Amino acid sequence: MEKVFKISSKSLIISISLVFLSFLLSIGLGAAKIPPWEIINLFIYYFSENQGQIEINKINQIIIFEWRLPRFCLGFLVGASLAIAGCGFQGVFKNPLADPFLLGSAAGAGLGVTLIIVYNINFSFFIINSVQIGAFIGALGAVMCAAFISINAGKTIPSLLLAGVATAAFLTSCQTYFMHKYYSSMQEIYSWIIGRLLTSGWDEVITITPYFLICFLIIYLFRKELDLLRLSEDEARMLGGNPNITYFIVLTASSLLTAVAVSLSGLIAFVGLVIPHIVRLTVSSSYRVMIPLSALVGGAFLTFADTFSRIVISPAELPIGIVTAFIGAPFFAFLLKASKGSF
Amino acid sequence: MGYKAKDLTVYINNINIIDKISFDFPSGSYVSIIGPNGAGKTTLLKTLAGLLNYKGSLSINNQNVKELFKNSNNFNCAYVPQIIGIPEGMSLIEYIFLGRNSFTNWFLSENKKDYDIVEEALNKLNLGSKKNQLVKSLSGGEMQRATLARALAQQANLLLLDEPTSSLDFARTQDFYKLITNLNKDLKLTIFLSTHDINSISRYSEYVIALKEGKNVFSGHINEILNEVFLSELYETKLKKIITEDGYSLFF
Repeated sequence: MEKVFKISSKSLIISISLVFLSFLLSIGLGAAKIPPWEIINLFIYYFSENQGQIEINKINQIIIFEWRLPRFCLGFLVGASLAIAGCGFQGVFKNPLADPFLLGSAAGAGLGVTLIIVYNINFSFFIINSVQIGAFIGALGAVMCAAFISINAGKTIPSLLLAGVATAAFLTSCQTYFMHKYYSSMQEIYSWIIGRLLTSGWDEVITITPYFLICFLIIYLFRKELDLLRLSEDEARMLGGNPNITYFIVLTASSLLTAVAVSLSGLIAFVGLVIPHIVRLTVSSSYRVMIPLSALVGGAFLTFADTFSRIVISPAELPIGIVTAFIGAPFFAFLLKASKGSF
Repeated sequence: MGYKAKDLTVYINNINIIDKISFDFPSGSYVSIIGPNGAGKTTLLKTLAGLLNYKGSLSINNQNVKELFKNSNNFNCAYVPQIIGIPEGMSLIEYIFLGRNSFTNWFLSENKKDYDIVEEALNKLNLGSKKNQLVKSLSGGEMQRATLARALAQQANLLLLDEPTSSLDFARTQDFYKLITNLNKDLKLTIFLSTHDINSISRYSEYVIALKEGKNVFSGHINEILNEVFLSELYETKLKKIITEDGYSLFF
């Protein structure tokens, strides 16, 4: 009998190829174009013990290792984080519209950043600046607020969903109030809201990596539980599952991933919603397959979008949130058509 | 040894759904739970499955139900609700493999033994040719067999079925009852099944629990309740009985 719940080698090779291609494009394209062989040569040089024997372009070396590689890594980790968080939310809510911002984290992060900007609060904590801290606290605070409302409303999944909608609406109205009151800050806030990847060396990558690794591991460990939740709750319990613990742990880990991602990149829409669906429609609907593949595809997709945003109106940059939706939406519409009623 | 309840009482949201019911059946029994809508049939099945808190005593083979399900590695209970979750995009083989979930751990996937057990379950339920089909595309009868195959994959000792034939046509209903009768006999599976189909269970079932408004109006051998007076009172409607040529009772 052929293996079930297994990531097929074909889908794994395609996903890794996408990551590699996005890596070459992200590193190679920009104001200074660096061909793929030179990129590979530079990496061989970087990791080589006999560096004196290889000739390299020092300027390209600086461009790659101090600017483009950190940006590629940040884009990959943010895309992967949002895609994994999307898997977690869709698994728990069993709703095709579920995305990482469902429980109000986008609105919370938006309000947090707005308050930091309009009151001109400037401080930093180790390598994290005040805007990132505002977004992180806002995003997690919103989710906790939704959870608190839900706990007092019967602790059911539909009540949590509705509490998230109410929290998001309330926080968005607060944010809009501050944006109108402090009109001069509107452009700065708006440019954060539509999402962008900005790196200053490796600081952002160092910030997100531990969150990513821990939360990814936790959500991946719950892959079988998420598959059981695709049945009814009672059936899941009888098959050895523990729905309540799964809801709590997966939503906590997904919310943490979302909070750290939005704090570093702003509100990049669409990735967390659509990447899990793309993997579900093209490869498998099992979370054992979806979680790792969504991480690879989500990371590759965001770095593709980032590269596109850097080169399309160069030397200026398009906000990445516009690009993810502009490229992703038509592709997803095509997939939906091809899926012929799978939703 | 067997399935024993004494003064079993269940409250849901402070409403008394099951009120001091008692029964005693040997292991390997085939028990049907009957009664009008709202009598507490589903609640009793869920309580037997260990899904609900209860007062009184409920034991399987002299062990408390909750402790048994929590601590025993060789006792498994399969519960199939009336409305089955049919996951989008899941193949039949994946659906049956979910029955092996409690035999795997956080890190390891299924091993050869799991594959062998699933294959055997598929073959026993005649589903081998459908294994790569999506469960969404299965017919009602095939879906019911799929739930039984999952229970076999789970190596269940106890099978709890909540109105399993409510969405099946006449022929599929008879096939289903024959199938679970065979499972009951061949594998010594204990079966508790809730139903309104008196005519079918009069042919296949051995024991019966009759519930009305949460109270146990009868528990024992099915032959004792196959009369017009008892069933007319239970369902509060006038029922007539005829005996078929092969000696079974039919009520209408």
